[in-house]
Amino acid sequence: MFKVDVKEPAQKFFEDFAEGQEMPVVTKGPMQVGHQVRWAGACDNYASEFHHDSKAAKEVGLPGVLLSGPFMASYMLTELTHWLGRNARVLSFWDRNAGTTMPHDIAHIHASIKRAWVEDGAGFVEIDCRIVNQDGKVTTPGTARARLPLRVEGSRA
Amino acid sequence: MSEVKAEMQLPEIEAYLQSMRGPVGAPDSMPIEQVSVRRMALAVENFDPIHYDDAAARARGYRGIVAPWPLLWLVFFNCREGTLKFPFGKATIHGEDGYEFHEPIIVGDTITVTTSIADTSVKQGKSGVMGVVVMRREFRNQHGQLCAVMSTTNLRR
Repeated sequence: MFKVDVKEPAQKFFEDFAEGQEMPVVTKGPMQVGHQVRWAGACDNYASEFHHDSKAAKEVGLPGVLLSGPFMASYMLTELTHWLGRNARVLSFWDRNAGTTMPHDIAHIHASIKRAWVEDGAGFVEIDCRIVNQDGKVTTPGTARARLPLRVEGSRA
Repeated sequence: MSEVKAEMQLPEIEAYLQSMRGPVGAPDSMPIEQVSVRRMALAVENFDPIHYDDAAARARGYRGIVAPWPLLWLVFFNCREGTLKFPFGKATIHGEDGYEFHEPIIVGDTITVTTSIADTSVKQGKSGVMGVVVMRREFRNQHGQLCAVMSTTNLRR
């Protein structure tokens, strides 16, 4: 089994985030049918032919193969989780399939801190996030909520 | 819930959707295997070592290798009691997903899914009447701890 080149997220604290702060944009793509095939394999789900067969997609009125909405949303969840750092706990996540992603599309993942507050000795953040394609269309709006540790005096990343 | 061939009218659609509310099927379970976790982490390009390496996960305070949250979709597609059937409309569209994350899912856990239809409604869309069905799935581990809740909104039109 090949060894995966792992990368541990940085250690961050609540104080490292402020309302309005933006995550550096992460760009995925050009997307490929292969990305969708890997997702289908990871989910044990091959039932929807339009997710990997262009002819089948066109037969049901779609413009072509569509990448799965939950797959694209999972990219977004993964990236914002890493941005928040290894001690953060994402508590909730929401996304909507507002537009399609097709092979050769680009997905720019954006996220920003909408609200930040301290409660019962822990920090919390609400996040607005979205995937924007190469035409500037938001395909996947989303939100998340996470808990972060407060920085303890003397502790450093 | 029998199939109805004639086109249903709005009151019938509302009544049918209302009748769908409540538990769906029996709870279903599946074991979480290391290779499944690795495959999902690779598919969503999550290279945090807690998804690949037991020692790295334990060093971060986990019981073992941690499943990335998108692995919920593997359980979703393997525990299929919640398949929707509609006697009206032509297509079902996956609209949005909401998640609550609680106890992490660890390699070696057995996850049990309990499915219900939490809410239904009828909306007037651009192309006519649209049925809205919110399915709620609770994911618990072998200790009965709540790991996650997934709310999936499907649109029927």
